[in-house]
Amino acid sequence: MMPEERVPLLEVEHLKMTFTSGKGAKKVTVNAINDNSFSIYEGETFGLVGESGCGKTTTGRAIIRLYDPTGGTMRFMGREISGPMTRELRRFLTDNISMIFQDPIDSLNPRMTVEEIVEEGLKYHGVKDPAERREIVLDMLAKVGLTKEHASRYPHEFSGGQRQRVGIARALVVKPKLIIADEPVSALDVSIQAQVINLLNDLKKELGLTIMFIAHDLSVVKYFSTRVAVMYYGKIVELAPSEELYRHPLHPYTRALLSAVPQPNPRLEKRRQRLSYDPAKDHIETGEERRMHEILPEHFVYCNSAELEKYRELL
Amino acid sequence: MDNETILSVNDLSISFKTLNGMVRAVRGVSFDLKRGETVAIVGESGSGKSVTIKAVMGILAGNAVIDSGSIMYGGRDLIKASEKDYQSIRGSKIGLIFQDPLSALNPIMKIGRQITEALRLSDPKISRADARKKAVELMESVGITDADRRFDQYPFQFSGGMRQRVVIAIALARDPEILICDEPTTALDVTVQARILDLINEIKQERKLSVIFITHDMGVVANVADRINVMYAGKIVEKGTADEIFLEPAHPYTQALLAAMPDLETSERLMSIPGTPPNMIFPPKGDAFAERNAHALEIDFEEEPPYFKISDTHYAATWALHPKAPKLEMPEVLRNRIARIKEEA
Repeated sequence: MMPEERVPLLEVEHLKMTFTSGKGAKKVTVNAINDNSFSIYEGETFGLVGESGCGKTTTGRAIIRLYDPTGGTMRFMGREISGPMTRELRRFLTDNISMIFQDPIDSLNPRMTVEEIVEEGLKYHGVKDPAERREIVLDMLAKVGLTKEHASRYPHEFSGGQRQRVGIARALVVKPKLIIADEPVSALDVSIQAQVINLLNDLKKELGLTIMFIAHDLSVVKYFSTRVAVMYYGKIVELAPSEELYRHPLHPYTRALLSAVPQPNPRLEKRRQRLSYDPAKDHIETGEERRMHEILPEHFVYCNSAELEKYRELL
Repeated sequence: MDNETILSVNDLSISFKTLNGMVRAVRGVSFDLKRGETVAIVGESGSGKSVTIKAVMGILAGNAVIDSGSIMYGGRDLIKASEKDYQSIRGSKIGLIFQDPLSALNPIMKIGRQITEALRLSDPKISRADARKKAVELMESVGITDADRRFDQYPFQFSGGMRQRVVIAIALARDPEILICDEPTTALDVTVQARILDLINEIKQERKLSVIFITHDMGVVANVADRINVMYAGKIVEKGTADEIFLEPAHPYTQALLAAMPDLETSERLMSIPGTPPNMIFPPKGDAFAERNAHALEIDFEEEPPYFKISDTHYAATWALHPKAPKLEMPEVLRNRIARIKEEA
């Protein structure tokens, strides 16, 4: 697909999220998201990768407005969603954006049956007829690989992988335009991880989903995503199509991250040179402000012009 | 590396008494640890890998029953060792590093004291100044910078990776000859994980340690292990050198485990293993993996497979290796990866 033909579903510009704690002299300010801009196009999977505390989860939550962003604008389906929260805006967001959470145990109400959990969204979505709701729910459960018999059971009766299927069914049942999947597989065992990744991949094709995939495992993100953004301390430092990012990592942090991903290859692992990232040493300081530069079509890297020159030589 | 076997686990079986019945957590596990090598035990949660090493450390839960087997170390069987005997082994001869460095450290005790505490156990008469000096040296040797100042800090003032370094320093304080690492990097970020793995590899070389490494991550295993034991449902289903396990995996479970994780080159569909591990209160007859194995043979459901020898170092318990069995087709994603690895060489 050519870039011009793509329709941005979500446009995020200069998103900032600051948390403060304490008062007066003890006041601490944390820039969880530090001026990030990106778009998510219809039908793509946008991977957001980074280490714990880098702000990737905060980004997801700011988009669905679980947090009120400190600055910046967000447009979703052409409509501004970063303004003051109203009932109507809340409704618009919950109707069109769903979340899948990391921990399938904590994110399901233990006192509700699977059917009630999946059905709940439909109720608010305006499906009034219980028979119709039931039909939609059972259909959705079948799509995620659960059966009718599972519908009347409670979350504790399921294994981790099955619980995550329930979480996926709950997210998809309202036919959202965008799904924010926050570490959906990292709590699962490897064999179950593959089940869930394959399921999400199948559903993506079948239903034409747009997914924002937040994870720390670069192998999984690269495998699953169309484009990948790498985040470091609240800042997106590199953004590129996933294959391109992997072939030509430019930002020293991306390179360090890639060199650290353990690979199931003993010959490679035993002679592997790991790079470490030291923000104080790995950059050229010219006093010029850094910004996102498009170094190759679609490949953005956060740098100043001197670094841009250096990165060009690396290509 | 000399070939002296330093620790040997033979036919170990462990069950847990629960209200629902006996859980057969470990079923006939045998492996050797040779001096200076790293042996990995890989498996998913509930496969029995942690229980196995808890038995080695003599820290099994109260409802555990050792049904059979022996753990030979220093000329004696640790299963028969009394708690008093164990106190001269645990920590001083065999050190242990846990998964979660925060819960392994005392939150209200200064880091330095937690290390000198271990030093004092070996040498009760050590002076305060000497203990401090030794502890600071240990902290420096595990890569904690500014060790003299950090000696007086509390665990919460350390990052996850630094805490794990402290835990490693404590384990090394008594100069053990065996180091058991139970998922030491699972709670850490990848770049920190890489540094801790490098550190473990380094101290292993320097101190001529023998390491038992427990993990579920095949990527981590590839990095650290000389020899690998793959566990499923309480049993070692395949054992071999790192090259053998990654390049010639023979057990359908090993293959599935490898084919279920993407690496940075993967574009094929992942192989997902259907279903979940069996309930070990009622261990299945035959091969425990048969139910989840698309290529299972009839005999897999009837009779437990013996170990088939593939090479002097490579064994797998699967009927697929029986001369009369049809040849097992490797999953595509794995076949391609192995071809790639061989091409690189």
